[in-house]
Amino acid sequence: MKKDLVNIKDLSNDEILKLFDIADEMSRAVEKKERLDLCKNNILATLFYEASTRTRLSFESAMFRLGGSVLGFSSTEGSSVSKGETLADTIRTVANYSDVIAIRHPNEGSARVASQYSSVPVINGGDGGHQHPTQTLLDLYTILKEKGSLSSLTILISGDLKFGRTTHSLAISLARFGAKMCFASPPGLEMPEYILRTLREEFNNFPQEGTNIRDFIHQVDAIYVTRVQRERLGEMEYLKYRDAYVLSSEVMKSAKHETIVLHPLPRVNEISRDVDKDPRALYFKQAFNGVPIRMALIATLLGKV
Amino acid sequence: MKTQMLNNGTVIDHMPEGMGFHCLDILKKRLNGNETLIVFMNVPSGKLKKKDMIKIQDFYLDEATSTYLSLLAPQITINIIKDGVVTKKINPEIPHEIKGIISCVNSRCITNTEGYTPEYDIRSKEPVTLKCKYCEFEFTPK
Repeated sequence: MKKDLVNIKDLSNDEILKLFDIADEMSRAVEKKERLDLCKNNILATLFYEASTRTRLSFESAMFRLGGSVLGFSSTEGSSVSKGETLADTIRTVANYSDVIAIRHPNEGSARVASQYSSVPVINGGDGGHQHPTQTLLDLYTILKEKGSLSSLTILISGDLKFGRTTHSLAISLARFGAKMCFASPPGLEMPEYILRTLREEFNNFPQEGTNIRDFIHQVDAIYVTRVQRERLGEMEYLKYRDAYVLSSEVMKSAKHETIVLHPLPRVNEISRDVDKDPRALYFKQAFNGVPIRMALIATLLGKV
Repeated sequence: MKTQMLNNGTVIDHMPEGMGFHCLDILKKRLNGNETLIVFMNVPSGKLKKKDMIKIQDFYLDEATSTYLSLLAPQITINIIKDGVVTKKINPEIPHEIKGIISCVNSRCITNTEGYTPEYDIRSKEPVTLKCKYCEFEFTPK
């Protein structure tokens, strides 16, 4: 039976840790610029209905590193989607041409629909403001590699927690691994109630909530910053929030010496560029981890490891 | 207050005060426009103190709509009457999950854009809270 990754909940903690072990091996191959032949006869379809740099390119890089091939589209222009084809029909067609599908789509729940109509495994590369499970995997992987544990940590998640899909699945996953959390967001962009309720009811996890990074920065082991999701806000709303929070080198002075800074990228202005020089700023290393994690995932879903 | 007897049709009873016209709005899509119906409002009630009630001649409420109404008012009761006799008394129970019936209130949900049938888990019965199986948005139907 095919296995999909639509929601981070589709993976158990053991499955996640096993993926991390495989990603460690893949990471060594990526560092040596090797091309493996694990998936040499396989094709990955990347169906990106929304703009993406890191997610699409790291999926493609991952498949090339595994020895496979890639086809797909990076915008709906020039595809049958622009003629009004439904997601279900596109998926049924593309499943005939490929062995695994990675999809990004602006509508929430779209990856679930894709998995229902696909005869090959589907990987959710982001569905609206809902979920982005491969980002969550690489976020967890980066934290675990850098800090050696998840359960003993306190992690500050800050920024647009309402529409920032990476923060939703990250919060749930951190709770699953027993981490403590603080949430800092401007009023109006708080973590949705359904996520807070899941944390309370399923994990007995009660994050501290506030509006300012400064309120929590001194006590945390990792800071996860997200940008304001401009594409999901009106222009006026975006302007209201654009400069509402900034992690600067000045603010970083209050952080512990070993506190790491992560960001799913792209960054706009929520982390000042002067923070890039701080050895605690790991967001580009985090982006690198996207390739070995996606290699591990693709190889696993295709039954190659 | 005496009310007209119904020989054939549906009585929707034990609606909370003020729900009568909202219920009628929901039923509009199911009615053909020729039915005789009466909306009673502020009827004294032991259970609810005051309740609304609707009687519709020659119309039989389907199960899906009964379930929908139960999501809005769990205490609702529905009587199907034929030849002056109550042939079916429905105390609709809120199911554990729902398919169709109600649209997801999240406008960004895929079920609202391409016509996929929405599905929900019931997160809570008091107040009724649905969780969309696609976008995971939670809401109380209104």
